Amino acid sequence: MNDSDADLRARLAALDPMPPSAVPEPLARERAEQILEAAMTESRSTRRRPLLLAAAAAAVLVAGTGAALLTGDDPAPTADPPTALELALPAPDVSASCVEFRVEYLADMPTAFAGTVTDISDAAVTFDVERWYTGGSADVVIVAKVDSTTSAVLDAVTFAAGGEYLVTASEEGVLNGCGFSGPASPELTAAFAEAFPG
Amino acid sequence: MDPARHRSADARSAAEAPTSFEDVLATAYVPLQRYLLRRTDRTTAEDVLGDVLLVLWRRVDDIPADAVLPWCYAVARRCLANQIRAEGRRERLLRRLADEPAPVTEPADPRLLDALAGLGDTDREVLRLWAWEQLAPREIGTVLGISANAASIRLHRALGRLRALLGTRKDGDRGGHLLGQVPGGEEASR
Repeated sequence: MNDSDADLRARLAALDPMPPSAVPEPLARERAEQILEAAMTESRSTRRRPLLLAAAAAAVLVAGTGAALLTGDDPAPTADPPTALELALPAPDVSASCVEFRVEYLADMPTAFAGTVTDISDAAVTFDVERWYTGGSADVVIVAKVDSTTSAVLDAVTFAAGGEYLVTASEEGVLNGCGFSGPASPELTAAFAEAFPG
Repeated sequence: MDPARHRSADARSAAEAPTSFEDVLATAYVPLQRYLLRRTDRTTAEDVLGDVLLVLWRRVDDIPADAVLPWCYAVARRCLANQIRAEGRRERLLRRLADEPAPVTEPADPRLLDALAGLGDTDREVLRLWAWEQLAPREIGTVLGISANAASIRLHRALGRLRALLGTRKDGDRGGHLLGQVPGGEEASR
């Protein structure tokens, strides 16, 4: 037997149980999505990425990590904050969709508070904090807007002066949408209470 | 900012756009499924794919834009070996029995299958990466964590040993189940 390399490669390729001509039955999509959700949940503490999952092809889109969104210095929400904490709204990203809302994901958020919007300017939305669930002790939270032209909108949430909201933010100090921040409805209040007991 | 991320961003040339996780998935998701299904049963493949995605998610900044697939295969290879070590051979065999019937029921080339089964794990993996994943020696080197030169030499030697086995084995002396030959597995020589 003295096959050339090319012949041997072709013979070996013919044994391929997953040849290019055969489309493999994809590994369960539901399972893949669970895996990705778990990956993102588990890695949120090690990778500084917001929590967004694209609907198509189980691909994850990353939004809101642009430097322009950061408030400049590292907000370090778990370190002793001053009386005012600065956070930021994420950049609008129409192509991003969300992971489903779960209390265990909520419980993972490094920054969570209940507050009332006291002021909306061109540059920022100001919250008077009523309660810190985790990640801070400041009396006031100032959320920087992406730029002066964007409104104070986070996903479907439009912040309005006088409104009471429950808000979470990533380690980068960027507000989380996807239902993880919103008006202080009884449902969301209950979810926050469950996620942050005590 | 994290200095490590600065460094990796600087290391990339302008022509190499930073790799995003979605880019990596678009490139590698189906090939990774093929890679795993070529080497293990479906249930294990699903488990390992989860591990692989987690590693890729965490290390997306480290993935070289010009070698996404080999890099992903390298992760899959390590994750599969870990899984098999952790799980133990007996449970794996039980699972496979409960799984779907083996795709290779009547191999077209039993002598070659037998010869492949008679090789060592690394030789077999080199040949599979070459013929099934269709990787060049340089890419095989990336998967195995060795230089392109070393990979060329490994491939050359693996081919030599395969030819030797083909020359000495007899027809009908059919080898074990090909899918059972996983990296780090030891049910090779039969």
